[in-house]
Order: sequence, then C-alpha cells, then structure tokens
Amino acid sequence: MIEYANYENYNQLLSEGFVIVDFFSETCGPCKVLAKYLEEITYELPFVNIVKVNTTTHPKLGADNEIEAVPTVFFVKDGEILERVVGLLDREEITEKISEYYYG
Amino acid sequence: MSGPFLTEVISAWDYRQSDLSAFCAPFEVDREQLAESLLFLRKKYACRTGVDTVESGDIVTIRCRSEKTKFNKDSITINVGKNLYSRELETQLIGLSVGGERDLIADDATVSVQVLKAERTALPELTDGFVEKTFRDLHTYADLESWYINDQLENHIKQQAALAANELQHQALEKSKILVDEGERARARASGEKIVREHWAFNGFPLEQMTDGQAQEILGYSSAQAYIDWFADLSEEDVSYAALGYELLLAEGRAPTEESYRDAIRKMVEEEGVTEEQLKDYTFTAYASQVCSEHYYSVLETYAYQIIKEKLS
Repeated sequence: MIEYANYENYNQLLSEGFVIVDFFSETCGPCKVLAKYLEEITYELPFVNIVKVNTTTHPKLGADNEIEAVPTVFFVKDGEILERVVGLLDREEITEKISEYYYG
Repeated sequence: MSGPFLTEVISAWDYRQSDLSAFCAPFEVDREQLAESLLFLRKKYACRTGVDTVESGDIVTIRCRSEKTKFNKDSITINVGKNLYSRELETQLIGLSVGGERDLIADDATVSVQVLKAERTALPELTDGFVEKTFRDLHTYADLESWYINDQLENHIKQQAALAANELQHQALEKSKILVDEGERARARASGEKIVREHWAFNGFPLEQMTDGQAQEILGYSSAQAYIDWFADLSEEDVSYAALGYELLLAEGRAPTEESYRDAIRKMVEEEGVTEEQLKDYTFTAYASQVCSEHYYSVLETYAYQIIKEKLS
C-alpha cells in the first residue's frame, strides 16, 4: 500500500511494522523510475507498506531527515531506520532489501 | 549594467524569430508503451479474492513455529513463489489448505506451518463497463486509449519543447550582444564547480576519487574533470541567461528586489529548514542570478511549447 506523508502523519506512518520510505521530488527523473518500481512492488507484495515524501511540497520533512539528494530511500522497521540509500535502486535491489528486513 | 548584475545586455536577440520546425516532426503513437500503460492500469486495479487452497502467486499469510528464529512467526505474509522468504518453504506451501497445519522441512529446519489466509489476484478486463465505473470523465475503452495517446503526445511536446529551449538558449548567446563581466563569470564558474563536487560527494562518489572508467560509466564523460568543466561551462553561461532574463522580468515589472530576496531567504529558513550556514554564499546577486536565468529558460520553453503544440495537435 502506498501512502503520502505530510507533517502530521509522518512519524505515525513509520511507527509500526516494515515500511519503505521514498523521498522524491516531481522534477527528478530517477525518482519517476523508482516510483514505477515501487508501484509494481505494491502489486506483487501488497502487504509491504510504502510511504512517499514529496520534498518539494514538504521541504521540512526533507531537511529534518537530512535529505540532500533525491531519491533517498529509508528501510524502516517499527520506527527504526535500518538503512538509508541515496540514489536509484533497481527492482532486484529493493526486493533483496525486503527479503533482508521484512523477513529477516 | 543589468540590474543586480555587472554583465550588460547591449541587444537581446528576439527568440520569436527562430525556426522551430526541427522540433515539430510528426508524432507517432508508441504502441508498446501504450500496452505497458494499460497493463499497469490493470495491475493497479487488481482484485484479490479468498481461496481455499494455495497456488503459486497467491498472497498467503501463515503462522509458523520452529527452533529457527526466521521461521518462528505469529503471522507473516508471502507472495508464494517469489521466494523472498524461503524457496523451500514456499514450494511446499503449494497445495496446502487454509486452516490446515503441517510440518515442513525448510533450510535444514522443521517448521510447523498453518495457513491463516490465502488470496488470489485477478486482473480486471478493460471493458467499457470497467472504464465507466472507474473514471469520472471517461466512458468507453476507446476513451481510455485516447487518453493515454494524448498523454504520450503531451509528453512528446514537452520533451521537444525542452530540447528547443536549450537550442534557443544557445542561439540567444550567439545572436545577442552581451558584455559579460569577468568577475561574475568567475564567480558563477566557481559556484558551479562547488555545487557539482558537493553533490557527488554526498551521493558517495567524490569526483576527486573517481577514475576515468567510473566517470565514463556513471557520468558519461571521459573523466571527472571533463564533467566538472562541462558543469562549470553551463554555470558560466547562466550569467548571460540571467542578464537576458532580468531584462524580460524588468519589462514585466517583476524584477528581483532586495525585498523579494529577503522573502525568499525567510521562506527557505522557516518553511524548508535551510540553515543560515548553508545560505552564507547565497547573496542577493546569487539569488537574482538564479531567478533570472530560470525565468529566461522558462520563457523560451513556454514559447517553444506553444509553437510545437499548435503544429502537432
């Protein structure tokens, strides 16, 4: 399931279970490619929660999380950031991370 | 002197005299992309219904017990056959019934598994009825296909407009008469170099440490220095675009001022969380230069978009 974060719900969306957080901007090409991969993942693995943060409309969320380049992806479990990756991940890399963090 | 800049526009080339026919080649529908978009839509509206017996591709929730921590879960959900959890375990889930419990051997461990829930995915057919029910403004499958084709056309026009705007910028440099201040040129060049070095250092690829092979693969340039030079050249050109953009903004009564600079700084600090330390090099001239050069590009792109759209629609 894909949900969009704002200043009010960000912490709550990350607080429980396994979550992939995608910091993106609308003008970034690699972000669009990643968005497509993530949408395909919601079809194949509908139980994986994905939270998208638009750093253009919510710049403070980007600044608070020290995002200096997009896309940046967080892999989060029960509110704890297990890994942050700057740059485009391919489909296989994302599913490997799911295998490691969701099932691990 | 053009407003906040030492660079001076003596005469500006009129971009409306340009020939954009090279960017107006006939548009052809990309049938492969259309099919991909329609499949993507079907996946987005996929339905899942409960089933009694597990098959490959089902979304299955199980409870498992084992001495191995990985297989000791109250509830874990799997796309059976994706093998992200355990290939051995997932293979043996096929054929199990919901509610049924069985001891399986996976990854050298005995795992007691109970299937709690199983769902099968079905893709909807894109019938007129589906379109009517799903979209407010579309009624038939033909409407849906036309919508995607128009979307392709719109993207094509935008891409062509961006290419045309780049070409117009270069022509403007050649055909306008601009006295570029050497100090501004050097400042822009140094600023461009700093930005590009910091950006790649943050992304884990410091340009100073990049080999020529890596530069070729990652950046598409023969060396990191060639890439830095290209970026610095662009920043240098921005000085002229800024001066040209300033003339246009001034004519519209929207030229950047000290007041708009203070507003921009306030917004960055209060709303975007930018620190004052990060803004120390962001002077009024740097701000005005950014606003004006972006405006110039935007004017050219909008103009090109209108011309190309008129020709292709």
